[in-house]
Amino acid sequence: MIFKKSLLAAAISALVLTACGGSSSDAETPTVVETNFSFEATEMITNLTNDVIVAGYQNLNDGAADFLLATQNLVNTPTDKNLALAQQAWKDVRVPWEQGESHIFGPVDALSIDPHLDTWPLNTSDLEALLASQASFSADELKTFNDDVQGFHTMEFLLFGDGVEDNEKSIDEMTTLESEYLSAAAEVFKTYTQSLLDAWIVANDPNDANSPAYKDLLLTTNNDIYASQLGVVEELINGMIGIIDEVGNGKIAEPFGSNIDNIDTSKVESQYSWNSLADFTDNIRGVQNVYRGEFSGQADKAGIIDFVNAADADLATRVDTEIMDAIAAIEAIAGESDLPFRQAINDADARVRIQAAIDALSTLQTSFENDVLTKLQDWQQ
Amino acid sequence: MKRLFVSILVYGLCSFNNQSVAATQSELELALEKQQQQLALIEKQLATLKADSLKASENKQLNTGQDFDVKKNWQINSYGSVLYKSEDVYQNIQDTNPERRATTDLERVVLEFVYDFDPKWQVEIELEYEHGGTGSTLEYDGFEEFGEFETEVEAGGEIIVEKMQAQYIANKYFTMKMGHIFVPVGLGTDLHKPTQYVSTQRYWSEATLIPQVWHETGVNLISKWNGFTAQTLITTGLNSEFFRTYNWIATGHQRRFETVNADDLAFTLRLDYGDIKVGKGIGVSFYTGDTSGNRNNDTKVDGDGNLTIIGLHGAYSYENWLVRGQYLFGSLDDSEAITNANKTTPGLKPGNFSQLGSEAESAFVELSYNSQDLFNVSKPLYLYTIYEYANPIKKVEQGLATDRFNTQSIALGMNYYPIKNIVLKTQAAQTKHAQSNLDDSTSFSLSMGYFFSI
Repeated sequence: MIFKKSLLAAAISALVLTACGGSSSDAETPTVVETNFSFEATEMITNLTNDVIVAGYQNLNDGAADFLLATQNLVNTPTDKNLALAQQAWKDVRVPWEQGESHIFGPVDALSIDPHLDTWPLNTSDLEALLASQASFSADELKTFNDDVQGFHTMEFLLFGDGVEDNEKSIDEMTTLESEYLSAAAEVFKTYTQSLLDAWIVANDPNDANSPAYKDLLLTTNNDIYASQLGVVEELINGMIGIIDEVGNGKIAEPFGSNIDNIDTSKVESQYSWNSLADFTDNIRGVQNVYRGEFSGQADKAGIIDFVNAADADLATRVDTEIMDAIAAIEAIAGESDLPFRQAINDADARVRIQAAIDALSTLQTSFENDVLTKLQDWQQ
Repeated sequence: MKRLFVSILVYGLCSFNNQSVAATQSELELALEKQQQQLALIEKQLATLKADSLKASENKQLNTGQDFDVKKNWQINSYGSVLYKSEDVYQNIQDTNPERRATTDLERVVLEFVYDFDPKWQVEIELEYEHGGTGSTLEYDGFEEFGEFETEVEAGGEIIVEKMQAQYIANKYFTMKMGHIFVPVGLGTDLHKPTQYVSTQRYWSEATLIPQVWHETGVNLISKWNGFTAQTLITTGLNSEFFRTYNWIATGHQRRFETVNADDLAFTLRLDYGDIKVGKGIGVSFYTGDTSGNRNNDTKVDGDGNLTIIGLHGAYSYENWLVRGQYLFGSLDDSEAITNANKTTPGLKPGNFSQLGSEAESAFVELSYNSQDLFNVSKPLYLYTIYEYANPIKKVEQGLATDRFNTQSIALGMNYYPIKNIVLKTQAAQTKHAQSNLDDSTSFSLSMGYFFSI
C-alpha cells in the first residue's frame, strides 16, 4: 500500500513538473533528480537467508535441544542447581526466537509455528487444573492440548513462578508433576523448532518431501512466492517494520496505557521470568541483524544497510543509528534500580523512559516505512 | 363464508314470502317485523363469529409467524431483527475480570419468496443479509504451495441463501423437499423468526454446539400419519477442519466455502408428534455423518471423524402458558486426530482453539406467559424466563476438558406486540461459569423484530 502510494506520489510530481515546464516558456529546463540506483542483491539475499535467518533457526533448534536436556536433568535430579540451569537454558533459547521475530514470514507463519511456541497470554486456570487433576504427562498427550497451555510462557510459568513478587523459584516450590509437565512441553517445543528448521532447509511442505526448501525460494527467485529479488527485499524490510511496530505499539504501549492509572500488567509478555526488557531488546537486535547482515560481534557481511547505502548513504547511517538508539532506549527503561518492565510501567520516572523508548521505536518505524521501503521503487535491478 | 351465509338467508326469506301471498296486510307486516328481528339477530351473531375468527387467526399468526389468509400462488415474506446488548466481556482466555461493553447488531434481514406452481409443486427461497450484509468467503486453492485457504474479499456484501428448495407434495402422507434445505436438528431451525422465539437473541446454548439454523444441500422426505411427522434426510456433511474448542462442530458448517465438499454425507432422522410451532408437540432428532472426508486437506486425519448428535425437544401450551425445551448431546470420533490435524495443517490457523470435545451437550427450558388478560392490556404482552446450559468440551480424548466454555444462564424478559407484525423485547440475564475463578456475569438487551407477508 505504502509502495503504491509512493508510486502515485512520484507519478503526480512528474506530472506537475511536466505541466510547470510546459506552461512557462522562459523557465529553465527542470532538473530531474536522478534517484535511480543499482545494487546487486544476490550476495545480500544469500547472506541474510543462510547466515542470519537459517542460522538463527539452527540456533533456536540447538537451544531447544539444550533446554530439553536441562528439563530432563531437572526431572531426574531435582536440585536448585538444575532448576537454575533450566531457567538459564529457557532464557538462552528465548534469544534466537525473539531475534527471529524480525522475519516472521514463510514456514513460521504458514505452519503456525508462532502460536505453538509463543502463545501469550497463558491460560493459567487450565494449566493449574491440568496439574491438579492429571497423574502424569507425556509429550504426545501435551501436543493435543491447546496452545495456551504449552510453549515458552507455560514453561516460563513452571520455571519461574507467577512473577508477582519475584522471578525466583526454588526447587522446593516445584512439584514432580510440574517438572514432568515442563519436560513434556520442552519435548513438544523441540519438535516444532525442528519442523521450522526442516521447512527452511529440507522441504517447505512437511507433507511433501519433494517440495523445495523454503530458503531456495529466496535464493532462486522467479517462483510462486517470490517473482524476483525485489519481492525478497520487500519481505525482509516489511518483516523488520512488523516487529518494530509490535514492540513499540503492542508489547510496550499496550500494558503501558495512556496514564499510570490505566496500566495493565496482565498484558506484559514474559512477566513471570521478568525477561520482558530482554525480549524487547532482542526483538530490535533481530532488526539489527537483518539490517546489518550479521549477528552482533560477527565480521561485516552484506545486509539491508548495503542496499540502502547504494541509494542514500546518509539514510543508511541514520537508520543504523536509530536502531542502536532504540535498543539503548529499551535497555534504559530498567534504570539504576534495575526495574523489570512489569514494575516499570507503574513507576512515574520509569514511565518517562518508557515513553522515550516508544518514541525511538516510532522514529525508527517511520524511517523504515517512509525512507527505506520507498527506495525499492528506485532500484534498477 | 359470510356471503354464503347471507345468500342462504335471502333465499330462505324469498321462499317464505312466496308462500304467504294470500296473507293479510297486518299479518304481512307482523311477519316482516319478525323477519327483520331475526335478521338483526343473525347479523349480530355473524359479527361475533367474525371477531372470534379474527382473534383466532391473529393468535395463530403469532404462534407460527405465518399469515394464512393469503389466497394466491405466491408469497413474499420478510423478517428481521436488531439488537442492543450491554454485557460483561473478557479480553482473552486468561482474563478473569470482565469489562462492560455495549454493542448493537443489525442481526438479520431476511427475504423469503414462495411460489406454488400447482397444488403439488412449490419453490421456496430464503435470502438473508446478516449483520448489515458484509462478509467474505473462503476458497481452498490446492495449487498454491501446500494448499492455501484464501479469503475471497470480492464476495464482500455477501447474501446468504439459507434455503432454496423445491417441494413436492405427493399426497397428504408424503412430501419431499430437495435443494438447499434446513437440517431439522435443534429447535432453533423451527423457531428462527423473531416472533417465534421469545428471547432477545436465539438460543445461545444451541449455537454453542451446532450451526444455528442449519442448512445443507440434500433431500428431505416427510411422512405424516395421525399426528406423527417423520423426516428423513440425506444432506452434505460437515468439514472437521473448522471445528473449534469454543463451539464444537458448529463452525464446521461449510457455508464459508464457495463450494461445499460432499464426499461425506450426513443422515438425519427426526420424529415428531404434534406441532412444535403451534406449541403442542414432542420429538426426537438424530444426526450422524463422517467429517474427515470433507476436509480440503484430507490426508491429515486417520479415521472418519464420525459425528453423532441426539436431540430431544418439546413444547406444550395451555391457555396463556407456553413451555418449550430441548436437550442436545453430541459425540465426535477421532477428536484427538482432528485436534492434531487442525493444529498442524499449514495455513489453517485454528489459533489456540484446536482442542476438541469428544462429547458435548447443551439444553434449554423456557416458560412464557401471555399476561394480556392479567394486566388487562389490549395487546399481547409475554413474560418469560429461560434457563440455558452448554458445554462444547464436556469430554476430551486426551488431557483435561477446559471448563472455560461450560456455562449456564438464566434470563428474564418481556415481549410486547404493539401490532401483530412487530415485537419489542427486553431481557436481563445472568451467566454462571463453571470455571471457579470467573464470577457470574450479567447482560441486558433490547431487541426489535418484525415479520410480514405480502
